[in-house]
Amino acid sequence: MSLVSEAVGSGKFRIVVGVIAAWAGFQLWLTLAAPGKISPELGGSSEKVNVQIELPFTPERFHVLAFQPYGRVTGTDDHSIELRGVKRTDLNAVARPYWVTAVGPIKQGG
Amino acid sequence: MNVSLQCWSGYLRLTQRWPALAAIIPFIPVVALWTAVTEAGVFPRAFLPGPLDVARSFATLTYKGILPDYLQDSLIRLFSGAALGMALGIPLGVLIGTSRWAHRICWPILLFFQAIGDIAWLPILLIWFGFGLTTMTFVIVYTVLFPVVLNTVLGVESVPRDLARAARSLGASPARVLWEVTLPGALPNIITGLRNGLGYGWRALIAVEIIVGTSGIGFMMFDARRAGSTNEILLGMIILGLLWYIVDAWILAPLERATGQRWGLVTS
Repeated sequence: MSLVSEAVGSGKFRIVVGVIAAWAGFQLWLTLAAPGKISPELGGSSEKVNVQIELPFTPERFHVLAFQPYGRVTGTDDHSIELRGVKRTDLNAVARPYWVTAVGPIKQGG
Repeated sequence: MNVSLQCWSGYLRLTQRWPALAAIIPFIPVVALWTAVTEAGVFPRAFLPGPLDVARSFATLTYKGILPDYLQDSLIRLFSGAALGMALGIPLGVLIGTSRWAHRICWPILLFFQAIGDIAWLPILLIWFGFGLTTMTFVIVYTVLFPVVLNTVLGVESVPRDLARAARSLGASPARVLWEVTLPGALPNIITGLRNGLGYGWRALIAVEIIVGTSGIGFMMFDARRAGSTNEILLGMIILGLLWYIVDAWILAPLERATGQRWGLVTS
């Protein structure tokens, strides 16, 4: 029996490989699901857009920091974060985390 | 006496049937004692939260995406640092193990730097590279490097010379002797070095994340201290222990056993 097959023959090793495969599958699903979270109202031709990111909970420092590489965080609400100057090419990355429920235009009064 | 023997035989039967339970059962009394102490109110909850509080913290942090993100950051740092440490350590170990000149030149330097602990580098690394990924990667690579190099040297030196001579007499080139005799023979030691190095690297990573990091499990624990959230600190500690148990007992130990058995160092 080869060294690799001996090592992967262990049931525990297979569990770890299974968990890694499940994680990779989840990451793929997040990538595929991201465009569906972006509101069609954000369509247009401008290079950058201002967006309101909806979360199912009150945003914390972690969530604000997570979006800072994509634009300027100009405010937070009970369940959303306002992000301005986001490149259209970055919209999928903004919508990708599983804790983002929707990405849309900034609401009036926001 | 009879009861304890019956309990012991029951435990053995149970773990024989479900080997995974052998890893969980020893923790049951620990968790029970922890629950009893917290339920008895020996300490205030803010000082020592119970297992359920920690489990709730786990659920909340996972729901909010904080824990998976920090865990991912820590694991990526550890495995990229370990990969780089191996990429540098194995060739260096082979060189020192096979060349007398390299051994003479490198051995004193290795021993000198081995004495300088990874954390001792932090002050100067912060000046050189600042609070960032480079500093963290340097510390992990540095920590992983020494066990890998030293064990590789030991492995290379412990391969019987007659095997290499036999291969040479059959016409094998030096490169082929290295690839087919020396490296496979040293592999059990290399895996042992990796196992030790990853263990030290994991601990060093948490220390570095506490001091330098802006993400990661170490950062999460230290940040929780600011908010006085003992739940999150304990959760971080449990995750560290569990993860290392899985990486070591489920991945590295079987790999070490497999290489040892393959070359006759251990028999099953």
